[in-house]
Amino acid sequence: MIGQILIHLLFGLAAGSAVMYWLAWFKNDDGYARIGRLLFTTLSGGLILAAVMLVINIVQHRFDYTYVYSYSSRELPLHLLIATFYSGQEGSFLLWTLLVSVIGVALTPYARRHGYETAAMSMYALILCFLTLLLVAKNPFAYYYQSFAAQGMTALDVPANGRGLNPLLHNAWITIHPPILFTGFAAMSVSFVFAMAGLLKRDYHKWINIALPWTLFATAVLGFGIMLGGFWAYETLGWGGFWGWDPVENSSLIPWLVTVALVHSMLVQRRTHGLVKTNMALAVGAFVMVLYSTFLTRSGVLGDTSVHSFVDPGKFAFWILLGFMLTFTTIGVVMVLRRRSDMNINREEFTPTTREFMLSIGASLIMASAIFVTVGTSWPVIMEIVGQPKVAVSTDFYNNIHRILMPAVLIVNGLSLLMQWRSTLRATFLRRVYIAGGSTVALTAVTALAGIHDAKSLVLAAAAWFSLVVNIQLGWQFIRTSPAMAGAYISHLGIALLVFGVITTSTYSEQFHAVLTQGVPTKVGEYTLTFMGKEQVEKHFKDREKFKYFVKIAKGDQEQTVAAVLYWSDFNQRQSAFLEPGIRWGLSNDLYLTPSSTDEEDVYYSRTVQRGGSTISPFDSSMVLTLQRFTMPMEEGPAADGRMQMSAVIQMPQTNNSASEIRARTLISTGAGGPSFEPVWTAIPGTTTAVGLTNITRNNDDPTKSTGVLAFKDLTKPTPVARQVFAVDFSVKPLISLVWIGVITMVLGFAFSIVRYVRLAKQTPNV
Amino acid sequence: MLRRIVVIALVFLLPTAFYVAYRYGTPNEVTYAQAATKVATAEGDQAPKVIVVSTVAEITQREMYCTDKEGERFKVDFTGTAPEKAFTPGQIVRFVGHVHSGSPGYFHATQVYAQ
Repeated sequence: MIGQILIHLLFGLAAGSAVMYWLAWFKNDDGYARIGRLLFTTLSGGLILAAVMLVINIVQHRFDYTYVYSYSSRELPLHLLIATFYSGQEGSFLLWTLLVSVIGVALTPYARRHGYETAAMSMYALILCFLTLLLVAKNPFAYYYQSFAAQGMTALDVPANGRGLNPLLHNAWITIHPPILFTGFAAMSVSFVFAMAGLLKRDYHKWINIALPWTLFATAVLGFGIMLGGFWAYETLGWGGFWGWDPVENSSLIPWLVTVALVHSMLVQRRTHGLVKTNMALAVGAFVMVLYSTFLTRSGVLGDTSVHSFVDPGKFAFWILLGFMLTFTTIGVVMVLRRRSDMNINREEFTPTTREFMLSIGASLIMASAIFVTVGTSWPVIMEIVGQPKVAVSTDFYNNIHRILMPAVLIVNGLSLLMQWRSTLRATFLRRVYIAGGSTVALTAVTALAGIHDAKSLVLAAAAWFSLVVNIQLGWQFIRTSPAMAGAYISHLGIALLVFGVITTSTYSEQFHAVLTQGVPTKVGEYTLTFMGKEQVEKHFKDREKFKYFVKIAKGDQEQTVAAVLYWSDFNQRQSAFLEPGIRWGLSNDLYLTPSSTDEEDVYYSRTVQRGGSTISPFDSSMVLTLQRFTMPMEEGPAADGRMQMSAVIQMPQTNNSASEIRARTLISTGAGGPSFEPVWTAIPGTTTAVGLTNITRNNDDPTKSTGVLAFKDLTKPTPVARQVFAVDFSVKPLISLVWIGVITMVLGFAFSIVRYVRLAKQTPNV
Repeated sequence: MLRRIVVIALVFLLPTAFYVAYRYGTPNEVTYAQAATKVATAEGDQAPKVIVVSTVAEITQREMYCTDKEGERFKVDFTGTAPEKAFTPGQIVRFVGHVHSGSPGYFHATQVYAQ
């Protein structure tokens, strides 16, 4: 009950803080600001307390709380228990709110130092009002008996164990990826509130300097978080790639793209005082896109158009999400429109041969990408609105659009760096272009000789080479003289490397399907795969029998063993398998093995027969067997070991026109994975053949259509031991390491830039 | 000049985005046999969604069978929001979904629209 009261109290504190800060702004009274600050700090403390309480509830297995019951269980290790904090909507909203408030605590003195506290924090506290209101709607402290009151539950009904965490999420990445992503989302609020504060204060330039380090921080963290998600999908979830243009992935990418455009246009304004309105609009757009993406992925409107699962949050939360998005869109748009004539001061035209012009074009191209991804992601919703089937656009939509946009962005990136602010000396520019262009042509030719012949890939590779060469050419000068200035070049270098990784993996990956029999080397492409055996892991989980399947991959005298995972779980009623790929990591290529299915080798001769149908013996084609009927377990009685027995009653014609009857029997075990059948062998009189029953498929609608699988074996030969068969998809992914190296390099570049602009912000004169 | 470029680009961009999305985001109307050629891959990706115009052939307590316009009978597992009127034999509907491979396979429909 304390938790529920606390959540309501937090909303009150957020509302109180917002009101006080607004009063402080309108009345220009620092007394109100002090109260607002106090309420804000108390709110942050309250959110930390709520988070601690939720963690304690989870760790203590308090299944009397619906949230704890829904996402955790007693079997989970500590790191996964803690990760259940944000595995459901309620917890992830709490994490987002907590991170926004923590950033707010750091932001308050920073904004005060720059004379922006009341204007910025009034808007910031308003954001927290909506977030805490969402917590009221999706309260992580709701009791089990409250949530299931309709089912007659009372306070005395406490589940002995929780439903547990989705097995897909059982890995270390869940402890890292969501917090980083939410930190990025939370940090995206800062540039918005500084932009709004700038509009309130009619201070259209200073906010750029103040907000730039925060915007860079948000871009770096969100970008890193996005690619961590991609790495998780690749490394653990076995989705085969690192990016699938899924709505959940896109919902993080869209605000990131807008904020990347914002960073570049902020740099232009910082140097030229141009793009004032553009920056205001982009700051609003980046934050609104965070809210829009949250709405798309949390409101349930995308339904089943994603590989991620969406939970309907309920009507109250739906309307809060919608209201949250519409409120800040309206505030942003109205504020920008109201000040638009004011912002026309210092308006100047950029000439095409300047860096500011090229940066603006680059930002526009990135925004074009954001618009295309937004339209594509929203497509199911748009279709539903117009009464058409709600279907997501295919990934070709995104791939084909970016085959055009990405080379353009890379070329514009290179050109912008070759140009100078305000004006570019023609001779200097041409000299640099000749060097970079010549190198690009040579390197693209080498790329073509190395095996990339596809025209689209070559164009993209040429653009990436151009960007890479220019950034190395210019960045190297800064690394030697002033490393803090090299941030942008390092980031761009990372993007170019990432693009090379995308080209090689998307165009030149090889994929094979193989069925591996245990102990039998199987040639797959240039490699020899040998399924070595399996081992059960994580035996403490009662909902699954999880196995690691070891496969030796050999090429020449090099060999390495990878372990893929395949299992079924009660979590999804064993409807579909959970899998994890086995990967041999490498700088030049990854060998990626995705499990497909597993079975036992069929060591007997089998025949599927419908009731009333006939088949012939595999050892004697003159022997015709007719399946008369199946006996029921009650008729057979239990076997000696207690298992159920059933038989297929088979009739065989005799030479004297009579017919003899034999029973092919089976012992049936029922397990969580469904029934399993063990044949009991019956010798066919006068032959050396035995027959057993290895499967029955009942047809409840028409029992005469039920089928059985008869197995035959030669009694004169020893029974072969059935070996395990493991079906896999095996792929070779060349230079995928460049994707990960590229992302790390990009984030490193952002870190350099953050340091630089924090220093510069400190030099910004205070009010 | 920059302003002009951006405004012109924006004017063309939005309709283009919608047009291209329409081209890639409209499910094809196919028969069950054609849908079966686009089954889900082993990598966990969903097969592209298609529409199968179907005649409800048989409804049992647990299963529903339909025929497509070529008369092929197939099992339908409908997991979408329940339609306003319950399915009845002879009814012609447009199912949106994809085929799950297997023996026998079935059509996993997530949406249903009146013919």
